[in-house]
Amino acid sequence: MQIGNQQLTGRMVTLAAVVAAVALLSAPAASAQDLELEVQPASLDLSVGDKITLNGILKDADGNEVEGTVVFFSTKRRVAAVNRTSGEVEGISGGEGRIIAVALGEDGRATRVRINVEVTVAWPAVERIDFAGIPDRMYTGNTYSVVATAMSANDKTRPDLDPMVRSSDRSVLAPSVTGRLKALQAGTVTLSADADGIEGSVSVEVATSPVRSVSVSAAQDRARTGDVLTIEATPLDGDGNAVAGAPISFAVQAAPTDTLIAPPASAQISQAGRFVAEKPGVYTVFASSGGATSSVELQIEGREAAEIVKLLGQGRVGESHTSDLWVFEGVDGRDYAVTGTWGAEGKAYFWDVTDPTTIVKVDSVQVDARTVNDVKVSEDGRIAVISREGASSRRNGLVILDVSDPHAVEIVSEYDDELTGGVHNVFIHAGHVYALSAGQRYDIINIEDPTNPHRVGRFELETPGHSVHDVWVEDGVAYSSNWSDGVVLVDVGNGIKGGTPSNPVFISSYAYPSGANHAAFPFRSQSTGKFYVIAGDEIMPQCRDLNKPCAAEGYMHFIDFTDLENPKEVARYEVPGAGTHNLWVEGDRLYAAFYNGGVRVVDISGELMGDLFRQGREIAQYLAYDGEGFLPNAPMTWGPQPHKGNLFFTEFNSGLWAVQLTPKDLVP
Amino acid sequence: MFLSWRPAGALIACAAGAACASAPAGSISTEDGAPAAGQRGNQAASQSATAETAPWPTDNYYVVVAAESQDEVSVVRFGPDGGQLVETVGVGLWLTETDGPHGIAIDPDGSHWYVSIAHGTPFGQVHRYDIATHERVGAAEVGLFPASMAVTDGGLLFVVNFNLHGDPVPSSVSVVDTESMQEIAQIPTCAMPHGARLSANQTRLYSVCVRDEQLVELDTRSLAVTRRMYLGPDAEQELDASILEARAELGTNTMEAMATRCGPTWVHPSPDGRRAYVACNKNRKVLEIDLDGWTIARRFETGPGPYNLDITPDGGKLVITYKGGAAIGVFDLDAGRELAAIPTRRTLPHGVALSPDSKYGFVSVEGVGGEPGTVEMIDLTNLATVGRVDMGKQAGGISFWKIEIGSGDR
Repeated sequence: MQIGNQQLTGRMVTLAAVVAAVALLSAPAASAQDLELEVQPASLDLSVGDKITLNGILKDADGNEVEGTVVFFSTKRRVAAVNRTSGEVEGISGGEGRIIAVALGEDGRATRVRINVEVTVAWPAVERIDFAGIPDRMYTGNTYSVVATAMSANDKTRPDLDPMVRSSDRSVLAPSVTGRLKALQAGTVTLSADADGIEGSVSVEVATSPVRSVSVSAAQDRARTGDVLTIEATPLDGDGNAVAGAPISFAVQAAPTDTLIAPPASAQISQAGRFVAEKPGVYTVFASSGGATSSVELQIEGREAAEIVKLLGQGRVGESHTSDLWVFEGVDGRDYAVTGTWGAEGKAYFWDVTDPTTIVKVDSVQVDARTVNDVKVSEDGRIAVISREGASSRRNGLVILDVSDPHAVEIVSEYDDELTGGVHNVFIHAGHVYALSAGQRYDIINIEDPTNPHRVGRFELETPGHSVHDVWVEDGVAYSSNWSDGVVLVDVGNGIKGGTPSNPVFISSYAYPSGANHAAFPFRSQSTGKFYVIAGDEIMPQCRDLNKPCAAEGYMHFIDFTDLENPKEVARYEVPGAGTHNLWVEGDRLYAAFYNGGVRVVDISGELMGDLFRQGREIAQYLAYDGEGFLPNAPMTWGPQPHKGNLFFTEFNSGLWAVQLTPKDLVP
Repeated sequence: MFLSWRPAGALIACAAGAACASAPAGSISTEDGAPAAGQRGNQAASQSATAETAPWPTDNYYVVVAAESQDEVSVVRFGPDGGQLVETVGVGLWLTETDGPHGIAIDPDGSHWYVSIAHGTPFGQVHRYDIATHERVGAAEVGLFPASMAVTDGGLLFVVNFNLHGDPVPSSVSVVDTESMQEIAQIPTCAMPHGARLSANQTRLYSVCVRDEQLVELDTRSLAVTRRMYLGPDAEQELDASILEARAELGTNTMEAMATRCGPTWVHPSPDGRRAYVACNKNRKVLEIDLDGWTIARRFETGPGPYNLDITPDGGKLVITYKGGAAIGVFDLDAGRELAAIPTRRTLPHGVALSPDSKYGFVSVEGVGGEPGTVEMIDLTNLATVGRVDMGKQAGGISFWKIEIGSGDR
């Protein structure tokens, strides 16, 4: 019996384009019969909007058609949709898809008798070719990057096509093996590219370069590794006048210090003339235009940023994992810390850290939770908020504490309205708690009267599959970390966009390809005045067993938000063999938890560019080994916080630690 | 028919030759069936256990259980040596995030097990594991907080998107093709869908919606909702299949007028396909649904917070977890009466899976805070606890795997 009739509807499909072969699948027994399922056509080539109906035919072991029903499913509904019972397939968008045909048994249940029908949906027809990267005038002796893009209707890019740019006269403008165009002599050429049978072209004039020399200089010719130097270069004609529109190409030659054996790649220069070295040595920066080249020499010294780390004390937590921390000056003027616990019994611990060499646990609270992932204390040191996950009631939410006397912490109230999926992170700012709801959004809860918390606002992205992991608020701006949506800035009272806690207003955002944005920390560089947000990853594919140490991955992304509308990622801090977690910035120092890589302190003064780790900007690292930890001798640094000249941090396996950094003595 | 559940302290299990157990002290259920504040803790632990008095089986029975607050899945065996934790597999997405494995399902052909990972970014996932090696071999992103699951012989996995995030919005049931581990459909149902069980012939999937007071029936071939029933106490009625929210048809006042709510948390169709049983977590009842007439056939009064339930393959017994009462109810379905309410050592019993030979019940117990999760083994003949195994925190989703006889499986 045939199920459905092959028919073409919508825009007619050229049957020649359809592979007409009949696929057979030997299937295991369904009910008492050995069945085979054929589907015609066995594969589909469609265009967007095309419709074609699949025929499902059931046969017994002897090849005889038998009664039965076939249902159809699409594995990529955004590419090809299918009517589950009629088998009508419609091309939705360009790409590859698959229709699964499943035979139902005599009793109507789905069987393992199934077959896949591969579907290719052609992209919409190309309407034109766009060119980018063509200056008003090209000059001989220079290389240009011209990119051609295939465009379909409604100005949509065809991501499946990569048109190659051709030159009508290779003696004038010649494509290299990389596709860049080298201007060889004056003349007029036509650049063309085609895709899907559509050709585009553009006429380009190449003029003889008037450049006879290049003036090149650096503001300073001596610097340290990691210092970003701007190289000024100006193309000049024979009369010494600047040539407008003539491009400059930079290159660098390295002569690392002879104390380096087999040195690595040691410096970089951007085509905007920004230079940074990772290793000490002598560097020659070349600036070229139209065949003219000049250079400047730079002497780079080692940064010598390292300081001495001295362990001050530890507040051991050996009976459970430890999560986040907050260090604060109490109402009584003494210094305290609160730490959470993870995968345990819902406790948060309070510590007197006034003398970091003698950290004393002074109180604890226990709430209905397995994980108290985050802990925060209000600016005045009176109120703390702790998050709940794994509550036995499945209500989760957050708990507000009176910490006016950290020796006698009291629960003031609980708040779980529409926060039942679990609160992973919280932040307190100006009488409001910013609380994550199950990674979907953050709610803004007024706690001016901590006995009566009430939601006044919330912020949730609208992107497909959006998710949020953390939020930090400073000067009325909320900086949330949103995995694949990156860092999102929202006005919650700053005024820049008229936002308030009850009316949060989007300001700006920046996403990066790994999609692993887990934490963010804003800071204004004390030395340059530039405004950055550091975005940290969380990537740990190798970690599956809590009972074994493991290596995380990921790094810190430095995003220049000085121009809020045009954020740019300019630098990274990447530690080989370790991955990031939480972070803090004070002054021009980054304090970063790197899980198995311990706590790290980094000099982030001055302009930032390239890989700060490789530039020798690391001031200190500390790996906290504790033989009596929950998992002994397994550093897994969770979060850092500098406080009154000392650095406190929590270790997942061993509790709260304090260290002090002191400059190295100069060697006489 | 309306059957009574005996009050706290009643004698509950006195099968010949086996020890009896006392029912747990009565307790007050809160949202989602947890005991009210002040009643948690060691209430059950202080009671005398009945366990280990009945003989252990000569065959080995295996279940697979998820520990929601430990990001682990454990294989538990019960046999001649009693209960044993055989293997524990770390699951989830990030080691230092609690990803919340909630539901467990096993391929009908015994080749793979599946675990729903509740917390994602923000959508949860279903992970597929090779049952021989316990290696993860596939993953599919589904909806918000995926929970209970069921898999057909044909390799379609149905998982309810519980959406415990707290928003009162309709959610869905995701359908995953297990061969490709791709989500092929999301079927909108209602708010906070929970429980997913197939009819015996696998043409229907039943789930309930905690917040919307609904029983929903899906056609597993057309992947469409075929019938709905509003479960508000004494106002049960069929709803149009297209109604996502009962309030849209019945009005808010109807909901609010209810003195109590059903708060359905689970549904299980009977082996003969004629009935389905719904756990009303809020008002201590189990509803017996006549699937032909789509009407209420009987109402059983139960212990506090009935949460999950299962029916013995012989159709004789209904086993219910009393999440609010730290006990396991066993009902005789023919007589329509509770045979026993067997206390659990710790609080918050969660899931139940019964052996194919109708001899044993396996119950996951969440525990509270730092307590370990537990699997308790119930002798369904003698109505007594005959084994316990501790495992990771918040033991929840549980699925029966196999019976091993001698050197072979059956």
